[in-house]
Amino acid sequence: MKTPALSWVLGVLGGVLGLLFVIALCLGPITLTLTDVARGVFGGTGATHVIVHEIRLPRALLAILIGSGLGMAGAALQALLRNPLAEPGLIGVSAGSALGAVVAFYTGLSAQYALALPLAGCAGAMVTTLILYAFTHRTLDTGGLILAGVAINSLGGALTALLLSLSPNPYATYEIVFWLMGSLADRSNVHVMLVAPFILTGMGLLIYAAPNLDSLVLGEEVAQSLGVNLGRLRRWVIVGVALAVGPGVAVAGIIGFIGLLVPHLLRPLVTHRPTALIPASALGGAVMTLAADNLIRLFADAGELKLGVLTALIGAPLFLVIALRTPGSRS
Amino acid sequence: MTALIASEFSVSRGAHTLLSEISCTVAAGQLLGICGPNGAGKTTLLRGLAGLLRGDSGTVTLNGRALHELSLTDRARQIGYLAQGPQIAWPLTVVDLVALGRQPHRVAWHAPTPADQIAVERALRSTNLEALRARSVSQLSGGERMRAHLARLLAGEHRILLLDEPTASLDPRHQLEVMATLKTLADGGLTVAVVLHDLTLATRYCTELLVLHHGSVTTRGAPALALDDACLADVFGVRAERVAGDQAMVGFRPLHES
Repeated sequence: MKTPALSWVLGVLGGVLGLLFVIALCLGPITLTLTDVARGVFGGTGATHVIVHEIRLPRALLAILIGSGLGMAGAALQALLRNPLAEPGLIGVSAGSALGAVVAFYTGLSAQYALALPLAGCAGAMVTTLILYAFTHRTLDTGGLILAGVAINSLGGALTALLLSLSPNPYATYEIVFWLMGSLADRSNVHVMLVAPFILTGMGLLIYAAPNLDSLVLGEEVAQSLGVNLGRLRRWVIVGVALAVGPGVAVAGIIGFIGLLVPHLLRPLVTHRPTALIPASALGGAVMTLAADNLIRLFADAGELKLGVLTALIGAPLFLVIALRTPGSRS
Repeated sequence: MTALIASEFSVSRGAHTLLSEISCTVAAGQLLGICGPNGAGKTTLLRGLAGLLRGDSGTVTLNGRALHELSLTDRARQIGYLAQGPQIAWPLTVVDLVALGRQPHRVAWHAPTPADQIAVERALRSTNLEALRARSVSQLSGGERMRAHLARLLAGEHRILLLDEPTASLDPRHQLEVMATLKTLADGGLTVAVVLHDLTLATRYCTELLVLHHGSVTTRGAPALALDDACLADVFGVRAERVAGDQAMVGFRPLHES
C-alpha cells in the first residue's frame, strides 16, 4: 500500500523545477547572476529590476501555473474518462476556452473588464468538457472519445474562425491568430495575477477529487458501491479542469499535449493511482512547460518559436505512439 | 442479524419492465444464488440490492432501514459489490487493487491505518495472492485476476457481499475455489448473494436459490426444490441429466432431444 516512489518522484520533479526556474530568471539576451536575480526579485530599481521583475519572473510564473494546470487537468480527465488519450487540447477543452477568449476579444469585453478574459476561457472550457462527458461517460471506447474530441475541436475551431473572419479589423485578426498558437512572450505580472486564483482553485478542486478518482479505476458501478457520489465527482472534475485550463488558454493561447504526455510519462512511476498521478502531473506539467519555454528563449535570436508549436511538434508523434499502444478495450 | 430485504421491488425502463414486484430476503449465514436465463433481471436485482439502482416502486431495506436513507459511506461499508466482468482501467499492482476495497473506511489523503493494512493482508492471504502482491494486474491470468477482485471485496470487511457472475470465465477448479470461499464466508455469518449461470454450481453451494424469469420470481427455496424438472423446462428450456439414483445434475440437454 505504500508508495515510496511518489515522494521520490515529487522530490526530483520539484528539484528540476527549481533549477529551471533559476535558469529562466538568469537566462536571456542579458545573462544575470544569481545575486542580480535576487536583487531584481526582492527590490531595487533600474534595468535589472525591470528585466527580472517585469519580464522574466511573470513569464516563468505563468509557465509554471499554466503547465501545472494542464498536467493536472490531463491526469484528472484521464482518470475520469478512464482513457489515456484524454487531454485538454486534444479533446476540445482548449479549443472551447480559446473560443470563449476570442468571444471576449471580439465583443470588446476583455478591453472593458480584465476578468472577462479568464472567465470566458473558463466558460468555454466548461461547456466543451460537459459536451465531451455527455458523449463518452457511458463507454470506455477509445475511438468514441477521440471522435467526440475531434468533433468538438473542429466545432470550436470553426466557430473561432467564423468570428475571426467576421472581424472588421484585420490587424486584430492577425494578432489573435498568433495568440492562438500559444506563447508566454510579453506577458506581465497582471496576467499572472489574473489567472493564478482561477488555476490554483481548479487545481485545488482536482486534488480534492483525486481519492474518489482512485475508486473510479474499477468502473462507475463499483466506484458507486465504494461510496463515491458520481454526480458530484463529475462536477468537481469538470469545473476543476475548466478552471485549471481555461484561464491559461485565455492569456497564453493553446499549449497542447502537456496534459497528454506528462501523465503518460509519470503514470508507471507512481503505480498508476490517480491520487499519486494528479499531484505529480502538476509538477511534471510545470517542468515540461518551463523547460520548453526556456528552450525557446535560448534560441530566440533566430526568431522566437511559439510555445504551442514546439509542444505540438514534440507531442503529436508521441501521441501517435501512445495511441498505437492503447488497447481498444480493457480487461 | 444482518438482513437485506427487497419488498415488491419493481424496476422499469420506458415501457419495458425489468423487475416486477420482487420480494426476497438475504439473511446472515445465507448464500443466496440468483439464477435465470439471459435477460431475466438478475443483474438488475443485484444492483437494486446493492443500492446502485432506485426502483420505481417497492423498497430494499438493510436491517429495517431503506438503503437510500443510508449515507453512501455507511452503505459502502456494509455492502460489498463485485460487478460482472470486473473492469480495471489502469494496470494497478495487486496490492493497490486490493487496497481499493478499504476506500469506504479511509479518510481522504490520510495514510492507511493499521486496520486497513491488516484487512488487506488478510484478504491477500485468504485468496492466495501474497506472492503476487507486487505484480501488475495486467500480468495476471483470468483466474488470478478474479481472485484479486475477490480479495478487493474481502478487504472491505463488509457484512453483505453481492457478486455478479464471479465464476464466469474461470476454469472448473477456480470456479469451485471461488464458490467454496463464498460458502465459507456465509457459514462464518456473512450475508452473501451471487448471480450464477452455472446451475450445477448453484445447487452444489448455495443454501437457497431464487429463480427469475422475465423479471419475476418463478421459484424460490432450497436448490433441489427450486430447480426441479418443471422449472428447468419452463424457465431454461432444458432438462437435466442426472446419475441414476442421485438428484445432483451432471449436465443438460435441450428439451426436444431424447
